[in-house]
Amino acid sequence: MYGTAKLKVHGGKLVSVKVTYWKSIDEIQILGDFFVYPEESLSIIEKSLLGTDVKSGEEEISRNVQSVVDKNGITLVGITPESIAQAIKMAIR
Amino acid sequence: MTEWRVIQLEEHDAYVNMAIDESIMEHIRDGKANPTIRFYRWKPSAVSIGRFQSMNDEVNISRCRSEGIDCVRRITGGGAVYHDYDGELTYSIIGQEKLFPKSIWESYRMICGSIINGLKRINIEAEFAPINDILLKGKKISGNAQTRREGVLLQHGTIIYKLDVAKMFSVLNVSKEKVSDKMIKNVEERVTSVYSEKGVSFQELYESILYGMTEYREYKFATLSSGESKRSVELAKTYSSEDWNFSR
Repeated sequence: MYGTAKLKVHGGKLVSVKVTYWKSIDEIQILGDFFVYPEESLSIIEKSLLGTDVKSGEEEISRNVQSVVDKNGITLVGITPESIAQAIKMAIR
Repeated sequence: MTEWRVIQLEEHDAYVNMAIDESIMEHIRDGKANPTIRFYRWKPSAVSIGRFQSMNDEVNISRCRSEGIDCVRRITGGGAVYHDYDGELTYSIIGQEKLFPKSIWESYRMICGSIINGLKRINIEAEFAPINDILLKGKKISGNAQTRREGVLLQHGTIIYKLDVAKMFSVLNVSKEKVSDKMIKNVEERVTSVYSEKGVSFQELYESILYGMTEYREYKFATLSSGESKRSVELAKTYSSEDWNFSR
């Protein structure tokens, strides 16, 4: 299945996701007018989300993204782990 | 005091403009160039999208192709911008990260402060609006985007000189969410331009921003080195490639 969702982060930027999934996420793209430093690290976040069970809750996904951000020294500007998780849940609803 | 290089107003196509910025970054990284401020226009007019945007989602590609408008993906994040040849002045400031505040937010504030300083010369009292905008009476007059890599910071941004809303909407696919979020449907209520506010010439705007960017910096006017020019020709091939521009 394929789903997309777009939301405006409060006080931040637009984030949209495009997700291909069945029981778990097979492919994902996170798009928008936000900033990620270093830029290449957005693909680290995207890769970390592959295999995520579609039944995972928003908080769990958010925690996982936060952990990848912390582990890799990634700076997010205008986007948050919570907004990524929220967009994913909207897309796979 | 650090000596800056100032490259005066030039005109290039979108691919070369983005290539020059990256070439300068590489040369500064390698210690082969001084920190640099450059000014440019986009000829032909162009659309640039942010690093994490989708070209197909953001841009009316067929309209751009039929009107000879270049479309390019930037290395910086941020949103899609229509760069009208007659409608905006673009700058880049590139230097070692140590020349700028470590905090991303503070470095935006510092660099945008120079733009605001320049706008004061033409009696425009604008203000910085985090994350990356400059507003005049609540309306956007300048957008900016920054990247940092290998110890070098690049920020480029535009100062809106004249606004062609019809043209902008014809080439950009404007998101409904963005409009509804701000509760304002009319772009003219959200964006303004130097010309509509003060009626000054483009040259006056350029000279004002040049002043604002250089007032507290030691600088010399110069051009690209031959190494930078050569490298920018190579990089322009990447910036004009479908692989890069349609990578998302």
